[in-house]
Amino acid sequence: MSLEKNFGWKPTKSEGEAKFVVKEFNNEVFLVNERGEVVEVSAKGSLAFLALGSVGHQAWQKAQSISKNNA
Amino acid sequence: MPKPKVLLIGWDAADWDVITPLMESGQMPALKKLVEHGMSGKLATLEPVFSPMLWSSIATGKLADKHGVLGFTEPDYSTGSVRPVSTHSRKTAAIWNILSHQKLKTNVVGWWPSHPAEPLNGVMVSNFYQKAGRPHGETWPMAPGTVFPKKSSDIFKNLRVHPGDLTDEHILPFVPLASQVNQEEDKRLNSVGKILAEAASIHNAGTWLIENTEWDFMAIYYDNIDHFCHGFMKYHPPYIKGLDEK
Repeated sequence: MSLEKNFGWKPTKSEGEAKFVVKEFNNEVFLVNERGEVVEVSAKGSLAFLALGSVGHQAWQKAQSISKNNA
Repeated sequence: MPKPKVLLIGWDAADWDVITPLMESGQMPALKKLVEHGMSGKLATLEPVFSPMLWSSIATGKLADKHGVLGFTEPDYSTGSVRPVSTHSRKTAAIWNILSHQKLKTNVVGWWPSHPAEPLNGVMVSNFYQKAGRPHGETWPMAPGTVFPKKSSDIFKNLRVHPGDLTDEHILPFVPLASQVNQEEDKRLNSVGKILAEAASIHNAGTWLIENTEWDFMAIYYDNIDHFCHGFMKYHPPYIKGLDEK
């Protein structure tokens, strides 16, 4: 998938900081950061998303909501 | 140049004897980086080791006889019983009161004790915030006074994690044989879930404030290491004779 096309993502030269944002694509939820790292978010959640804090929680809730609607 | 900020993170019961080997084996890279690029050291504690008393000393710079928080509970003369210590138990200013008074933007999350939340030049989320008082699936209101300003309550209400929200993805890394536990007889998995969910709620509130508010000083207190230690430190090596090896 094209990050630029689908998420409006643009790479930066940021080295010290990479802030994840929540993106939804084709009924799936992803966390994306400025480095182009993409993480798929499962409705089951994970410790990594808990460790990310509010953005991880938001992504997990969105994945749960989509999974529930699709069930 | 970005404005300097101070972030005070309290990990109750964190111990360098446990942390150092984890840093050395690469399991705590973020903390290792902080240690390598800053200063670290061991803190002596105060006696008796009552968390609300100790964390009030950290917040005020004063001993208990001055700050007034003497333990977990205090006499309630109006009812003749005891009640949990609260913000009202503290007789002296905490660092967040002083900084707020100096017009600095100040956020506080989960400090013990910090209920009811105090008016600040910023946001305070009290130590009642993370407690799940109702079974999973039921409406789960926050206690009055949990968030200052009150108008921000809805944001934080939705950032909480109930123990019942957790899945095996969260529990199995801590208890790989969780499926073998008879949960009718052994309630320790419930404890793991409760501790983890409460830590996640505090972490969500703190990280939301870090990312979405202007702040000069921020304090976040996590009690999960302390609670894990109370429940499970006896199983940490070396083996204590008499404990069930399984």
